[in-house]
Amino acid sequence: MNDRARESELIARAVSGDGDAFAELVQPFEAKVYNLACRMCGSREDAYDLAQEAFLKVYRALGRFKGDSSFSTWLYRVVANTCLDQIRRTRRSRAVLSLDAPVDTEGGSLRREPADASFDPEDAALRAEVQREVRAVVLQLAPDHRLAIVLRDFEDFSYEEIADTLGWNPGTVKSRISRARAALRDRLVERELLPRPGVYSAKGVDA
Amino acid sequence: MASPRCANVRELLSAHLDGALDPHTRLFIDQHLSSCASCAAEAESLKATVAIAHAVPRLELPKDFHAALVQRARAEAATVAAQARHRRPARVPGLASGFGAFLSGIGGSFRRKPWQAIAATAAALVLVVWTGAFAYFMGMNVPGFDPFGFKKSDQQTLFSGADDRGTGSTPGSEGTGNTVGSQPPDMTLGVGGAGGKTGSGATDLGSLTQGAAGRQFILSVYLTIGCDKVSVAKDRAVALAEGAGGFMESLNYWTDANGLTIASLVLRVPATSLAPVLKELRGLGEIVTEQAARADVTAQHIDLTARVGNLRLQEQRLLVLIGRAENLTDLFAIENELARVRTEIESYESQLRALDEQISLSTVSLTLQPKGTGLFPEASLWQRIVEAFMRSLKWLGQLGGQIVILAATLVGPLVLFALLGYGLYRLVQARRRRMGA
Repeated sequence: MNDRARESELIARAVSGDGDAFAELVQPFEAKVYNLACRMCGSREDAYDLAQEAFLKVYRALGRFKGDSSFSTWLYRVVANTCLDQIRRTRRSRAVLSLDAPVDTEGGSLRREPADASFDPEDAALRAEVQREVRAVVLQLAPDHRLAIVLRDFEDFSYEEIADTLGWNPGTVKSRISRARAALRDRLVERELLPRPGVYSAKGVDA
Repeated sequence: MASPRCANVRELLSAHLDGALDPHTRLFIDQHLSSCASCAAEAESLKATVAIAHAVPRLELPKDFHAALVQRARAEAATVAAQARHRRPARVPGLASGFGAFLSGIGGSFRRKPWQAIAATAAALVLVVWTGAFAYFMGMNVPGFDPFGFKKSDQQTLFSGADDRGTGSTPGSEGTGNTVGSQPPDMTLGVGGAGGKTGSGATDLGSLTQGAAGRQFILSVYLTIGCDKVSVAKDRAVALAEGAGGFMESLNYWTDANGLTIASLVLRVPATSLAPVLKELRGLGEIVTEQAARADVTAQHIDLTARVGNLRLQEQRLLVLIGRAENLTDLFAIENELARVRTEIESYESQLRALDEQISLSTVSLTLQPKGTGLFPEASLWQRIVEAFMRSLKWLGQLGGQIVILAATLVGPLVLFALLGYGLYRLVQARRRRMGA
């Protein structure tokens, strides 16, 4: 409640032209927004600029924030739209990546056969090639699917938060997340970074 | 994998993993997973994928990010402030000089090019027609724009007793109606008297409530009473309604232009005690007009009750069915249907509640005014002439005001036209200069 009051005070000050109040207002979101931008556009430099631009957009539009959603929901909506705009702009200038195109990986040293019993997702996630694959697959998804999986699995939004932020209906949120995850899974399996589903037997399910 | 059910389940596995499905569907999927090894393996693989995605480390925010943002926000604030300072004073002289140049441009160009004069005339004509139409519609809305007394004055809208006497019967829309309150009253009893003819002026409430066995009515009474002291009568009327278990819904209490105090109340009185309350209300003074109406809503009430009953049965059946759903498609279909039925039940129930409220509480619209006013004094010819003259004077005053408002309204478009015209003029001139060179 106190945070809420502080937040609306900062908003009021920022609207009346206090740049420092704005910086304080958005500081808690900076890392998240930067990560989101990074996952959405792929390069750290672009993400830096994109995140800065998104925050300035938020600042300019702050007078139109009416408080019918929470400030963070509204902020992420602006950020998400900025990311989507950026993707649309660069897609026109760059060749579109196809979902079927092979991902650039260094050498054939990736051919590690993961043993199903000892497979540990968290271990896997720490390996550089897994991270690279994950990033690459996410970047190949259609912008809407990309946004869905980034918000859900990287930024830890709930389904409701995603629906509120992006104005999608709940069914759309579910299906986009489902599609994006399936694409990610298929790619990881294809690169043999994840055991093929058939490897599991019915009794080994809760391994 | 083989059955279509597996395909359905796999579509939902992702949401299932996050616990984002409704309980029925969740149960269905759990059951399926315990019996289908291939789907279970699929679920496990998806779980691992999500775990990987969740465990991918986050990037650290570059150290200078916040400082850079602070700087840009300050710069932005400074630009905005600077723009706000400069914008307003800079524009006005610009507009004025533009307008002046436009006017002198018109004068100059007419001498050189006759077609420009034609175009300008056409534009002016459009403007005049538009202005005229505008003024016409404004005039229609001028209150009191009625020099010949065509419109009824406020006092005349009080209906005369003699004209409304009798029973006007409008066929009620029985059987199909499910909207509340839109039915015309199917019985209107109007009783009124002017001057001293109020002896028999009581509404025949007997006939309103008679024949009412098993039927349901909405009763409304409109009553105008002339009394000695309006404020006292008003308090008394409210006390009467409250004493009978009713309440005052609205009150309008004002003094009109002639210094007469008038109170206009809407009282809600339990239908059962309407007759005694009315009797007391009539005692407040002299009845000027009285009208009562009753709308028979029996059919509507039965209809709504039946609908709610049917929908409840349907809901019960659907709840049984949902336990027996064979596949996901059915499950979703049933769930959708359940939601629809629930919404309908709630809608009809609220209509029914509103109807019940209207039935149990009759409405008394009561107007209290000082004795001997609000009737229709037979004005002499001379009085009417004077009145008409006064009205026309009043109307002229209002027309003057409207013209000023109209002029103010036109300033915006005129400036716009001027700017457009000036721009066009400059364009034509520039082109001519280029052609000449």
